[in-house]
Amino acid sequence: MVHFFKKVCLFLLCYLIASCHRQEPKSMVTHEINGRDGSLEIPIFRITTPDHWIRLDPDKNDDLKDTTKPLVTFQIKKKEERITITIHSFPFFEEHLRVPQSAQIKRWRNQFSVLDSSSIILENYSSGGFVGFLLEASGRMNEKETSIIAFAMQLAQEHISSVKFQMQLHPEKRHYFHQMCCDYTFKALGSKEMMRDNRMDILSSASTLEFIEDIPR
Amino acid sequence: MKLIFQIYHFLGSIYFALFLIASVVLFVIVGTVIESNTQSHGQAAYFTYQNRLFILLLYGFFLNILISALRRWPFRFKHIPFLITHFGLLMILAGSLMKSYFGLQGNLIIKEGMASNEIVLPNTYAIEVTKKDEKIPANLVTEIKQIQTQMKILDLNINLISWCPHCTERFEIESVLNNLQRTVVAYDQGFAGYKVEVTLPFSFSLPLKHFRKGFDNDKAFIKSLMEFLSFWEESKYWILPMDLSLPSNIESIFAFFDWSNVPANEKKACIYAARIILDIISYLEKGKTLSEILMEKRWPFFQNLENFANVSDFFFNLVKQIFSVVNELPEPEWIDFQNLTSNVKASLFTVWLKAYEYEEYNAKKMVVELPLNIIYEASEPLKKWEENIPKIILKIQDGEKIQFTTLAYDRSDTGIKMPLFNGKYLISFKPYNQKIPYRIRLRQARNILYPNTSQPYSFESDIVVTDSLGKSKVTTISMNNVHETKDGYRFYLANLTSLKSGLKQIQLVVNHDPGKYYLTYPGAFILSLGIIMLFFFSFKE
Repeated sequence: MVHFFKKVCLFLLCYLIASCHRQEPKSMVTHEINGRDGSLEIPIFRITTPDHWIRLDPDKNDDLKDTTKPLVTFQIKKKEERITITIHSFPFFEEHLRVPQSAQIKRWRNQFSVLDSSSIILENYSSGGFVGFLLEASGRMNEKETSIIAFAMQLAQEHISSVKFQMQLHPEKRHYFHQMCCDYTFKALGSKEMMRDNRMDILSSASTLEFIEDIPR
Repeated sequence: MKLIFQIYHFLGSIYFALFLIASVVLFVIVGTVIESNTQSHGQAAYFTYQNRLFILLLYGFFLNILISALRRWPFRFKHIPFLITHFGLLMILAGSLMKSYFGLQGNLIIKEGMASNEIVLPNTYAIEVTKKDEKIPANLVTEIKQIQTQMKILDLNINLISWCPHCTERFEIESVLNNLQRTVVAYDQGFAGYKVEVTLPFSFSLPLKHFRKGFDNDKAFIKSLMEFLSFWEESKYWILPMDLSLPSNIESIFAFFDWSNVPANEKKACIYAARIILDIISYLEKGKTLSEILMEKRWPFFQNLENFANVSDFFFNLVKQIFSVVNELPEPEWIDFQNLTSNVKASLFTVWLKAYEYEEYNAKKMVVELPLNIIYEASEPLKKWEENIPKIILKIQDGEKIQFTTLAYDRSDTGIKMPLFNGKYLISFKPYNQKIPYRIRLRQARNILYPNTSQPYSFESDIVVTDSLGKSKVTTISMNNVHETKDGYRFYLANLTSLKSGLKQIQLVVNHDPGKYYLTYPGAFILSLGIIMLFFFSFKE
């Protein structure tokens, strides 16, 4: 009987060991990103990235009201090559002044001198209360084989009315004002091979880009 | 004393155990029959394991197991497996009883970017009143039948005038607009009321001044216009041919549509475009291809025909080109627009509408705004209790002012809240919300599709769980992957929906079993240990 009991214990031990393998998670770091609308001291967004991504903040002398300047830039370096990830925001105070997402997509496509049409993936995308498009494409840009992963995102229509309402109700809470002004783009650009190797990291980091404060109900 | 001893003996006996088991079996049979007949899990649960008699049976089991163990007193070495088994059973039963009194089950519905620490408790009824300038809703939870006496919420005295267990709820809307896309839009979050927006099936940037006469003078004008546009869409013609039979009331559109204000060159362009396009359509119907027709007509578009995705695209550009060069074209045989037949007017009107159609990427839909009228009709209660929508009629008094309002049960607490006393308050009839010690924020929700298809096989969500100390944890939950906290809260992903803008909304089922880690799970372990000892070891003295 004791012999049988030992066998049962051995089986259970093997079962436990066999089912406990886990992949080591990557080391991640959360960055806070300041806004653009004249209140640059206040962080509005946050994003979680792998810790080897190099963060480059904009020059403090830059006029950040200029929407061509990124809020923040990340670089992924490997030997001589690099991927550059830029996040821009596009403040709007009237809905008809929002930059159409299709215009962003068109602009990115036009940056390629030759675009491999078979590589283009354009999908609807939503994350963190924003909705928009994810563009993945490859082609030649500045005489180099280049890939792009880019998101053109707008605060969802369902959120706009509740943020506006909270702005009226709590004019002292500035973060509602900032939330109204935060359509953004996230663009990663680099060599085809390097982009392929880092694709999952870029996509998963992009999905963590969100407001620091909750969007109100 | 003898009676007490007999009762004590009976409570710990195998006969009492058999009685309890038979009773539970009966409950289970009844529950199964009810659920299979009504498809209502709620109704079956109400008559079985939520029933007080069933809870009493659990107490009976607890007593039976406890006393049957105590009857072995004084305990001996050989009793050890027996006592361990019974102790495990008692712990499991205590865990179940604790859950029935202190446990929690509810739903949490959140959109991406939002966070909440309030769950909606199903099968509870609450009236929520929000005062415009107070910002925090006053929430009163109550069983529906107990609202009959006067209640006070904020400054309001509320009386239940009547209620019915089930009603249907529908918007009253012109039948011609029934098939079109509708959205309820709130003014000032509902305090200033609601409107219904009906999106027309076309996108135009029309100079609306030409329609003003119709909108001002004739209520039937908008209806006729809608019918005409629907007729046009169903006809599948890019512009209406001049020999097509039209709806009878079409004249009322042209009686009020102000052609005289349409610039002469636009009218001229309409005539050219209608003639050319109808000519091309007649050739297409004879089986010729677009390039053949254009080559035959020597029309310059054929040289870059590949730029157009389809014939509609070509027509669209053709109309634009005609409108842009119309001043260079010779005068046509002039038509007196006021004396045309309805068919010719309709055809030219469709050309004119097409000329003002936006390019697809810049399309702005035309929206008609209507008042929101909701009709509640009492109906027979459904067999499936969960799907009943109770309706209540309330008499509400604010000082001297009195208002009556009808409310239907808003099961998911996502519906509209009705304004009271000219937008001073909002009121809704909904389930009770209970706070939990975790704030859940939805970062992203995803449908996982089978490769190269649009068929979902799973869905998952990234959520940020923040506890009462402010410590956050990011986790991904999916259909088979539950998030569980150390104090027994479990979060199941129950549903995922895409809203109009593409934003995702999820429903989490939140379950709290406070005794799970202290009673139920250790009890199960101890029970298993006792069973192993009973089977594999002999404890002979």
